[in-house]
Amino acid sequence: MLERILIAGSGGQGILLIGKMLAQLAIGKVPYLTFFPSYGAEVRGGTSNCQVILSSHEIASPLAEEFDSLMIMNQQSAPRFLPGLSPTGLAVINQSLCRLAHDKRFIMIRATDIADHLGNARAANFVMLGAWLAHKPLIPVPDVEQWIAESFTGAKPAVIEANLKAFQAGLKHKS
Amino acid sequence: MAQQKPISPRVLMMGNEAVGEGAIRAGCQCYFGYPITPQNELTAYMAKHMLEHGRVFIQSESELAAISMVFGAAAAGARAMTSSSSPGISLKQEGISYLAGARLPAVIVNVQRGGPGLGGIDPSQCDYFQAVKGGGHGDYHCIVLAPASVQDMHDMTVEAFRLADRYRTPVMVLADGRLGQMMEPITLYAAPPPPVPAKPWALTGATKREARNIRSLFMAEGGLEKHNIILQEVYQQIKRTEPRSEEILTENCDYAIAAWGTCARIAKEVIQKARAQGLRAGLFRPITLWPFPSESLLALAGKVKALLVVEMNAGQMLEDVQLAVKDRVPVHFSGYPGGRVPTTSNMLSALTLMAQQFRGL
Repeated sequence: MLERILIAGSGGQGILLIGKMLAQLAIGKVPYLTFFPSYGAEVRGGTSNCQVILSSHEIASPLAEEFDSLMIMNQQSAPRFLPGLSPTGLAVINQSLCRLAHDKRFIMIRATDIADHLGNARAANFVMLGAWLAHKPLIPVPDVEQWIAESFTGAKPAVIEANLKAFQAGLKHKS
Repeated sequence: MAQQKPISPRVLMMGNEAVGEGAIRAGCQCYFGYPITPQNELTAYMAKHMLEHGRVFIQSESELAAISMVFGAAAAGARAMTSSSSPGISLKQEGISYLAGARLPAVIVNVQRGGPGLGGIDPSQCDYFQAVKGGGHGDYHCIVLAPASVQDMHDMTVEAFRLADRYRTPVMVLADGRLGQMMEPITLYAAPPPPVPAKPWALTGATKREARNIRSLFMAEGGLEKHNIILQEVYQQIKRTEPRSEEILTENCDYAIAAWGTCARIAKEVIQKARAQGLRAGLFRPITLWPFPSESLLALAGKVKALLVVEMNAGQMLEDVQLAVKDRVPVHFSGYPGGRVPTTSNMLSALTLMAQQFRGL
């Protein structure tokens, strides 16, 4: 198997968090993986993106040019990264912040609005992740839920709860 | 083709952190550093974990101070290291020259970014000349190791400490921003630290013994020449013993890419794609940049029609390749001098273009 994933949005939307989480949860499930973040000058409010490659074979180049999965969290990232979507790929689009013409490869979800209704707009990344996992079940759902519960150490219980609810709302999304 | 490895217990680590953990497991006793992107996570990792292990961590007031602290710690017999990125490594050159002159073992990690000057923060391989040709003043070399994966970042840091003590010389790990920032699962070094040889020169307190001197200043007539001859003998021994390289698909190969670090990693995929298109391509990857694996490359040059050197600079290792192959094969070059990392298709195009020229002859 080879799954090349790119997650893109604004700094502060939890782009790198989702990428790192996928990489951590994939260890032990796939023999080879790489995670590469945009780094340095891209800060809160700027653009942020990361690539995760999961593979059953050694990953020679850690830099993919074509992607099997995209998670696009803001409008700015759409023209930059959608051309890299494979003809058979899948893009989860945050419809709250992106206006795009229909494409059969797209899953449109109002991730920021859904997360906002559930109590924390910052959990939109987990709505997106849920919608993606519903179509590409590469990581078991309980693993993600356990990760959320264990990783927000020091956070208020409400933050964990909001992220869990956001993730579950994404999983149930029909598009 | 790559073999599928069994899934063993591994940890997900960023390249910069993998260097830090490698250093700790290699018995590094002292780390001195000053922050700079894209190697900050290494300094941060050492700040957190060196103290947990009862070792020394100092965030120095400058790069110059950090390398001078390394000099002091190494003179006292400790395993010591510093790290930085390109502009910061330039600042350390005086200290590296003094370490080489005083024959002190130390490890220096350069997570390269673009230059000259402050350049940029994107990955680059523009410090090849500086690393392998000396860098500071005087007739000296550092051993230079070129990692191409997060696992390499970890393993080569351990190896750097072993080599530094083995030859009493500074050793540099020459990485780049991509390797520093990338995360991959790695198997941690689990053996005991490489053994520390006896250090009968170390400044350990002269109670009940003759005083010792650590110095790089030799004023007596003939003294400096004698000292330099000893240094050169060590370099010759390193050149005989330590050159390392990796070759992939170089049997039945018409066109070989010569690349190091990140570019070699990308080239691994390029040669497979080229073979799928009927182009008999292979890869020559120097693992030690100094000593340069000239003999292995010369042997390969006798078997191929042309070599393509690909680097994220304007052509630096290119010169060592040209020296090594002695005009036996044409050497082409494809460079990325501005902090950009080549894609697989960029590199494949350059290789295909080169092959077309030879087919047309």
